[in-house]
Amino acid sequence: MSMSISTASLRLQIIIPLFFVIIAGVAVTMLTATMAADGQRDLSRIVEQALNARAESNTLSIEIGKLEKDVGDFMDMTTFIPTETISWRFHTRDITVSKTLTRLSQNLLSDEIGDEVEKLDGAYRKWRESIKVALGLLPAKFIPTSEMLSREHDEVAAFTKRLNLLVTVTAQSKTKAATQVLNDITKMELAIFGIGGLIGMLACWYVARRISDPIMGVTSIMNVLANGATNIQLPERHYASEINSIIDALEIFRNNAIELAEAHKETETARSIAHSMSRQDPLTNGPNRRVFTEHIEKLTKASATRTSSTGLNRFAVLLIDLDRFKPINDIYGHAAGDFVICQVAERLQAAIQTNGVVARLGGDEFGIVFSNGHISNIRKSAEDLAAQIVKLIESPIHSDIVHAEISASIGIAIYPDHGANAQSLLRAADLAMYHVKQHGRASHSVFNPELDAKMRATAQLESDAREAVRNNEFVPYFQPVINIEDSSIYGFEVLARWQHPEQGFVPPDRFIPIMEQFDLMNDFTSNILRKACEAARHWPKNIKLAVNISAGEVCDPSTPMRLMSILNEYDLQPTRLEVEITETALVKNFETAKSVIFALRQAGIRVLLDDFGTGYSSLSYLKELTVDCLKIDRSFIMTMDQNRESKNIVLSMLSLAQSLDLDTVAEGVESALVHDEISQGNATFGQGYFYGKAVPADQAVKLLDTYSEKLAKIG
Amino acid sequence: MKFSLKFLVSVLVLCCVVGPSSAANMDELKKYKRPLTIPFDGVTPYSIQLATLGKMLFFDPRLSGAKNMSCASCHNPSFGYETPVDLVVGANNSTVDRHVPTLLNMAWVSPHFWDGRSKSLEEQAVGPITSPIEMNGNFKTIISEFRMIPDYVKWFNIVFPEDGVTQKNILTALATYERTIVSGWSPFDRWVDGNEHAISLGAKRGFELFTGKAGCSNCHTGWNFTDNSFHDTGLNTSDIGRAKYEPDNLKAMHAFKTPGLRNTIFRAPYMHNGSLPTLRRVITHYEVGGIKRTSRSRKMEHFSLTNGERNDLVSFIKTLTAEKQEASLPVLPN
Repeated sequence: MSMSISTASLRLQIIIPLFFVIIAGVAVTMLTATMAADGQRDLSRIVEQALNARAESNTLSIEIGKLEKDVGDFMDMTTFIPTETISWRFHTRDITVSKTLTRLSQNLLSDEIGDEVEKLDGAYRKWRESIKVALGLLPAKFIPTSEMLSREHDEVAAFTKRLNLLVTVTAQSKTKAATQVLNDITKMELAIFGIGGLIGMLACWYVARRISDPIMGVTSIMNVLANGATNIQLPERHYASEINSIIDALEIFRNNAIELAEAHKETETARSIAHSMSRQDPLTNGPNRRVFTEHIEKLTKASATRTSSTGLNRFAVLLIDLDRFKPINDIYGHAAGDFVICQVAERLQAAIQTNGVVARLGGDEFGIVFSNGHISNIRKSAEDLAAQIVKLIESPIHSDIVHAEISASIGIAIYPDHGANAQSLLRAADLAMYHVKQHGRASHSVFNPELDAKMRATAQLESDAREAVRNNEFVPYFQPVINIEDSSIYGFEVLARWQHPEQGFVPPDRFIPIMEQFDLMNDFTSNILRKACEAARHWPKNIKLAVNISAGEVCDPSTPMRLMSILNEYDLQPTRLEVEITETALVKNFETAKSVIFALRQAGIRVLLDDFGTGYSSLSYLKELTVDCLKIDRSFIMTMDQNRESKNIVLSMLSLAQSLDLDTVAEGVESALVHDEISQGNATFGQGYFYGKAVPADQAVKLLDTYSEKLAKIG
Repeated sequence: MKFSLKFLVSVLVLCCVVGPSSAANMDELKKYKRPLTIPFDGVTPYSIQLATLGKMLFFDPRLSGAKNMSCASCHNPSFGYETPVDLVVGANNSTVDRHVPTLLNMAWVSPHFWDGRSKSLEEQAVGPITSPIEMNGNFKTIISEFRMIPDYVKWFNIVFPEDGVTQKNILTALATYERTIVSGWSPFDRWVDGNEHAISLGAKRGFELFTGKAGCSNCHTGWNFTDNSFHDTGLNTSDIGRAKYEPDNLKAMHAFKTPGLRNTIFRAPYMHNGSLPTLRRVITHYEVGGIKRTSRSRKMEHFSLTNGERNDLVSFIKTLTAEKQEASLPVLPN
């Protein structure tokens, strides 16, 4: 089928018939326009001639009338008029009349006019001769009487009148005839345009049929396709190539539509799963944090709208955090952890029954919205509930895979006393919970607004601290580290000091966590180190600088390079830098920390393990990684002279280090007694008020100059 | 049928009465066809300037001795260039002895005056101007006075480039103007031209009487209704008339020139002495024939008319009245 009909461009299908119709239309239009123009020209000529003839014939009447009056006036003989005057006036009129007559005789409007003009001319000539004689312009022996003049004038006037009439009638008839011709042409034009328009419309209709029929076929199939049906019968191929392209495209569309429908089905399934997941905790199948928050919002809003009639509908928000849950995961594995979580969820649900909603907020944290239906004693009810929960959770969870003994720390916030919306209520409950955590766990606590005030101060400090980092407000202080053997200054520990504009001196243990929390440690350390280097670059080259770096930095592979580049800036050898790291840093990401420490040591930077003896104090680290020096925590050193255990621990740690071939720093040396003891215990270095407190850079320089002297005095 | 027969008969009768008379008159009427031109043959050639100058002089009282009379004083255009009184009073309160003759159609009339003492109008004009009982003018005075009038001097110099204001030139101008005084077109003229409806049947009957039974046309002939001849009509008068210049002619005694009849109705009273106040009186005079004496014209034959015929005759005379009266006055120079 498609092969038998030659496929032509749709454009040609439209253009060729229209082209012929337009050509024919233009030709006919030009023909009729030419005819109309001819007719118009004829009419214009006739009208012009008629107008001229009428104007001239009018002129004739007027001039003849004037001439008659002139002659009458002359013949009245009331005043003396010289011959020249008479002659001039007569000739003027005569010339006008004669010329008009000549023009009229040349007017081609009709032959009758010519004949009439001839007659008039004859009569006029006769009268003219009489006038000339009567006015004495032509000598004669017989002078015309006024009767003769008026008779001859009457004849002229009669001819003029006839001429006027004839001109008028002829002009009318001729104009009418010409107009008729023009009208006929116009009618013919109308007829031609009518027929032409009909033909054009038929042509348009034919073309439209040729184009629209196949397009309609395609369109109906497209509609079927758009309605989702894919079992369509493709239309037969068409003689127009464009339509064929559409049919081809249609086929592709159909195939795509089938694929699309399948893909859509899959997507729908995925979406419904995702939707339920977004609202459901996957583990407990209970509400998640989002639903929990929404529920609180709903309650607050519902309560707010009822305010006027029944007062606020009070309710409690409980945040439950499991204590000692993490080790379960570590020890028994995640499946066990999940089991415990599920068990806890069940117990919580059992505890509140239908008086609220239990949600898992994440990890080992649960939330409860609790309402006992009463208004006054919600706080007490909540505390009772919390106590009950604490008791319930403390009951061991036992199964084939796990035996867990956990407890719960519960923070309680009451609406509307502790917050007007979900966010503030959760925060209040969170604060209360942390309060419990800080004070021994396995208990509950109701939010106390004072906690909030403290928290606000912390927040303020946070923003100030961040500001301080940006403004580089931290100043390095230098606390000397003494070589126990010869009592010389081995180096300085660089300690950051921050003079807060309002709160005054802020200890590092308050701002360092903030730095860590907001990921400012890198900048902070770099700034302090720069300032310290600036100060130390002119100091003797054997003086070391010990800088604390945070857990984050220890786990950051770029830290060695950063520190090196800062040393480079100030032209300091890497061997002049010591880095103090804490055990907690190692806990975070041991493998990375290990590589960072290795890199630092490779570069020549000594690494110190700070606060040794506190925390987990896992000696396994010492096995796993290599450090240069142990810094024994001050809590042991400071209590050495009073506490026998402390002294023994310090001495054994020193001996341990010695046996591992590590240097040691005794931190917190405040008396000569302690100094003696650690020196007997073979501590390598000492640090503390006994040797000198942390001082600004300029005093540190003086200290370098005067230290030996000073120490000698002390000693 | 009866009615139509009656009608046919009456039509036939009418044809018999009117038809033949009209046919008979056709040749007769041709004699009355008025001329369309004024003859200036053998007189001073016409020019409109000359005629205009003449008209001014005609109306100029400065031609009279007391500067109170002009030609128009007696030859009043409104009365057929006559005066509506039998005898006019001239200068010095003197009565003129003859009735004022008309100036109508004088171009066709010669000689002039009732007694024909002047051959030309130029000659005629001297008389009334200089006559002590008429205008009592003096040409020397007139000329010297006119020469003081710049416009007259200018115009005379235009018309008479050779000699300006002279007596001869004044008279020539007057005569030329007088020749242009032609009686206007009348219903009778139109009838002559073939318009049967121009005059009434009575007037036509009057014309029949005029040319037939009454014998008026024996003397009042031609378009101007005058034979330019002298006849004694038997009026009671002591005036010898033409006899003064033809003493040997018996018929010249009490003979006066035949006056034209154009515009007659304006020109009462009638006859050379104004003795007959109405046309009817004139007609009855001719019926009776006046005084039978030697000099009485042979054309004065007795006839008698009915009253209706007299009326017809008057009707006819009235058809000689011009349809248009012209009487414009010229602006005179000072």
